[in-house]
Amino acid sequence: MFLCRQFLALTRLTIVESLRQPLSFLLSATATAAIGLAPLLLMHSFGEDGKLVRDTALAIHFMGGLFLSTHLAATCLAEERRRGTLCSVLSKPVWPSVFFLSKFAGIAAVLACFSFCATLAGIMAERVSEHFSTEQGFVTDWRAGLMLVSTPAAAALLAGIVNYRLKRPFPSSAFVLLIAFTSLVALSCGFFDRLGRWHPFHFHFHWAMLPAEILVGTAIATLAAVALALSVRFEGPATLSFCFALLVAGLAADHIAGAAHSRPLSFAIQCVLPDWQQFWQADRLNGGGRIPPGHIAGAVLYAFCYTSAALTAGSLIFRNTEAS
Amino acid sequence: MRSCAVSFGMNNGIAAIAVLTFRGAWRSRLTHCVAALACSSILALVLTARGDGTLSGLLKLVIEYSLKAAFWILAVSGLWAGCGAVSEDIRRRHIQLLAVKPLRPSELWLGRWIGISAVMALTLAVCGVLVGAIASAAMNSSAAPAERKHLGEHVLNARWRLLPSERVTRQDVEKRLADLKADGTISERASAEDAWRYALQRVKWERSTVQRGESTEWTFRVPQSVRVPQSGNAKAWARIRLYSPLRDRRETAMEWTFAAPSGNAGYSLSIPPDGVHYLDIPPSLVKPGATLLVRFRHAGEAEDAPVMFDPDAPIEILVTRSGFAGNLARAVLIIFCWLSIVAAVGLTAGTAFSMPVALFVTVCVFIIASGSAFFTEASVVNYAKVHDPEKISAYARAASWLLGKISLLLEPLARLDPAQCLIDGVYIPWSATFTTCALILGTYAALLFAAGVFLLKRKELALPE
Amino acid sequence: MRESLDKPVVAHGLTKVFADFWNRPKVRAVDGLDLELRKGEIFGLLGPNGSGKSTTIKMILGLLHPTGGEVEVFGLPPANVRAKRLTGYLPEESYLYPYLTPRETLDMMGSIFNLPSAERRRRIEQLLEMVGLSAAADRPVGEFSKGMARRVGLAQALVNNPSLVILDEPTSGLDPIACRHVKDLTVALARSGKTVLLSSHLLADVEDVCDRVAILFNGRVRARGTLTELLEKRNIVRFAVPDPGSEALARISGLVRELSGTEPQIDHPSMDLEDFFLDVIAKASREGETLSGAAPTCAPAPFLLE
Repeated sequence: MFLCRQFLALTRLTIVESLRQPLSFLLSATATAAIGLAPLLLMHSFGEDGKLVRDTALAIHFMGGLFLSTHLAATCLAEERRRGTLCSVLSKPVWPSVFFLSKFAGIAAVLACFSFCATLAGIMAERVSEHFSTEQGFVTDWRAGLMLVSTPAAAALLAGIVNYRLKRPFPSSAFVLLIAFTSLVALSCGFFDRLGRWHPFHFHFHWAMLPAEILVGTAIATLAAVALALSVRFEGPATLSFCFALLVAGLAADHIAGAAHSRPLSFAIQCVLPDWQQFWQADRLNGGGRIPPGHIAGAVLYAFCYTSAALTAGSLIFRNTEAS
Repeated sequence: MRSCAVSFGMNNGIAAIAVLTFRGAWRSRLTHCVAALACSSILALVLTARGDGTLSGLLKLVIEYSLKAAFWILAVSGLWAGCGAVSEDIRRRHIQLLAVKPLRPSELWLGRWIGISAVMALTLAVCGVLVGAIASAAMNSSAAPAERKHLGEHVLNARWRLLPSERVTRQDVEKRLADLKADGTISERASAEDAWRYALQRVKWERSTVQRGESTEWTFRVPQSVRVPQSGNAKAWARIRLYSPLRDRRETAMEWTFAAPSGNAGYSLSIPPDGVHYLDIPPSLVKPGATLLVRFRHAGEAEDAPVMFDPDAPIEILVTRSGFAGNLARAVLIIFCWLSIVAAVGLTAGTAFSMPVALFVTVCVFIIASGSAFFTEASVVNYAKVHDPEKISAYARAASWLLGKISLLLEPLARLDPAQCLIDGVYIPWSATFTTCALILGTYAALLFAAGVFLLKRKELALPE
Repeated sequence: MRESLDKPVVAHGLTKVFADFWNRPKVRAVDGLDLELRKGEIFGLLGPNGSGKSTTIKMILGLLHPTGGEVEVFGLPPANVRAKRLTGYLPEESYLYPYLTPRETLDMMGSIFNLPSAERRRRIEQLLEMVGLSAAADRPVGEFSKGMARRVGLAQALVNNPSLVILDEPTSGLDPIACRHVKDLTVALARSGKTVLLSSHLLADVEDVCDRVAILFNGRVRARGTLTELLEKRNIVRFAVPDPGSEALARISGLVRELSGTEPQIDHPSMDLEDFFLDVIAKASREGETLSGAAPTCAPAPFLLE
């Protein structure tokens, strides 16, 4: 119980710290706006309605999440060490492992919120994109698009008012409001169809995108775990560089493992390098396809195992590292 | 190091800050990693690249991608360093020690910029030396003599490139446009911009297509600055780019005549009407200030298709000017200027914002800038123009206009592509190099410098966190 | 605009209000402060934490822009490069570049002042010896303890032989011996004609060296003057004599009681802890024991007294 309370207190602290960084709101707002603007690009890809928008939304979710996760993970421990708060926390009766895991939990919570926002934006962008309607030909749902693109600006505006009246920090208020407004916009889309006609409780969303977005969110959390483990020993820029190298190597994991001359080496490479292809399933959604539940379960299990391994390694290193 | 900097004309303040920056970077493990990454990516490219099966094709690939890899790696690290140089100094309060010294904000900004640029210059120079060494190794490799000869003449060479003086005039396009509208090929609803572009393409293609039995000619006015080396190593070529939509590999008979005041040369040959071909011509035909007339006649048989030249670059006259090493040095100099701009952007952004926000802002700016041309082309404005021009929203028009202006603003930076010149074996003149560098440093860098100094002067450097 | 060396610092109505993003006032750190330093004096700025001492100093140095009032350093605006040439500053934390050695730090700072290289080298050696870091001159500052870094900070503040020396908490992080030496150095600097502005919340430091002090609270000057003016209790007289014995003491007490009508207070005066500490260390040094870390500092660098 005591450990639980400690864990929750430190997690809450990490969440507050992460939300107060301007980059959290900036990346989330940019991702939402960029996904919302994606339907403005050429939509049609050999007759597949919304494919380009789906792919673009997932890609923006992935890249934005990667940057956010590596930045938050790389800087949280480094900043604590630099400011000296790491020493003051660890001088209290706090288990180093609890402290380390609470950092991850806090970062993961913020990333989950980011992923939630990007998921809603992606699903709405797909609805906004031009689809063929038998009544009017190719139609863009400009109403939903306008509301979606306006959410970052609205969140910033209201956060400014909250900062002015209540003196609450702008970045964290803006982040929370962005999620709230994006959810509100998604809910309101459930009351009219693509042609703007009143049609309550019919969302006209491509729900098959949801598992793809969840997989991307899982990949982001995995990379955050790796970044956090690396940040125990390395400074921010070095951690970011390693994470980037891991990202690139992971994308080519199959090829690298296949090029290995022996099976044990190939197996070792497959264990060390994360296979990001497991989490990118956008192509399965083409032509009305779906991601099999079995694949989703497998990918989530893979992410869980990889994340656990990274966190275990990081925790062990953290216990043996000098705090000062 | 500092006396070296002062001897370059820098004042002591700028020199001190530049040396401080250089030292900090030199002693940083991250700098070593970046340098190692840049060099190892070049070596990795050599080991893994496959090319098109020819030595020239492989080396072109290696040169182009080596320089691009070095540029991108150094650009990212230069941007990072630039964003952090002033912002981290302010955050960690180091600036309180510097700002109370007799140091102007302009000296601080310049010193930081010069220091970061010096580190990038050193790394880029090492990469350039590596590329040069790889080129030299390729020339001395055990490949077939014909391949090495082709490599030496057409890739590892710096040649004057002369283009035909015939240009498509405005009157030509207007006349064609009127004809196309009259016969209904261009709809009245089409936008003026698209109609013009279509008419221009039609004129170019029509001029570059030669039917069987017909001829065409090009005039080359040789500038005074073209100096053909007097030594026996001087060589000249006509580079002909042919285009065949049918990918026809059947050889077509052609007659070429090169006429200049100093002499004539004629050739009859049969070559496939597709791809790039080289024709050796006497260098004596290329005289400074003279005019060279090139005539082509389609001497093919009845079943031969018309010969189509590349509409943008049908024929070029190439003349030996100098070696690859000098050209590589000039290319590296231009790339260094681009990198300096990137560092300057980061430095100015870092003066206004904290480091993560500055990085974010600059990356967004670069994405928008580099993708402006693509976004303008791919935007709904252009799509709607084709389907229904009346449906374009004011918002889409405004966004398209803004992106177009950004693209225009950045066009001078991309006017000279040094990597492309290197792999084409085209001489990069010193005048073009200095003009490009002066434009980049004198205009863009100067504007960023002014903005950075303005922001630094107004900033309170000791605000509580 | 020409500099005026007779008026190191003149401030009238100096005010600093820290505002939020919307320009609404948050904290009034300095409120209508008037300050005038005389050439060659040691002026102490005293006050509890948050009283505005460091903020005042930063406005004098141009690191912060005053919200109201004006300040001049040698008759010039604080941001003027000529004013900065005559100023040396030791901030409350050292803020040194961790990858530079003390020698490189001083060389870099010295080169900003346009000092010729021979002169710069001479001064660097003298300063390193003065602060006792000659042995550690080629180690990166990032490896130093707080006190050692502070010494480097002090040295860089003096590399240009400034006419105005501003020391913000100069003894913070220093051992008592080094504290003593800093105080001696401060007095020596003032004697050689330099003006010293000293900010501290350690009363003993200020009491030992300052000619005049100002006590700040809540951004305002609450008391100002020489130490004698501020501290002397003019209504009480104290005699200090060698112990006369109990009988003589009783007679003296009786006489005082008779003449003044009040009971005299009699006690033995005591040393302060710092003097006692220094005595102990001096004895240990004479017995041949040595210190690890920073070497004991020496007399002020000769160039500072030129």
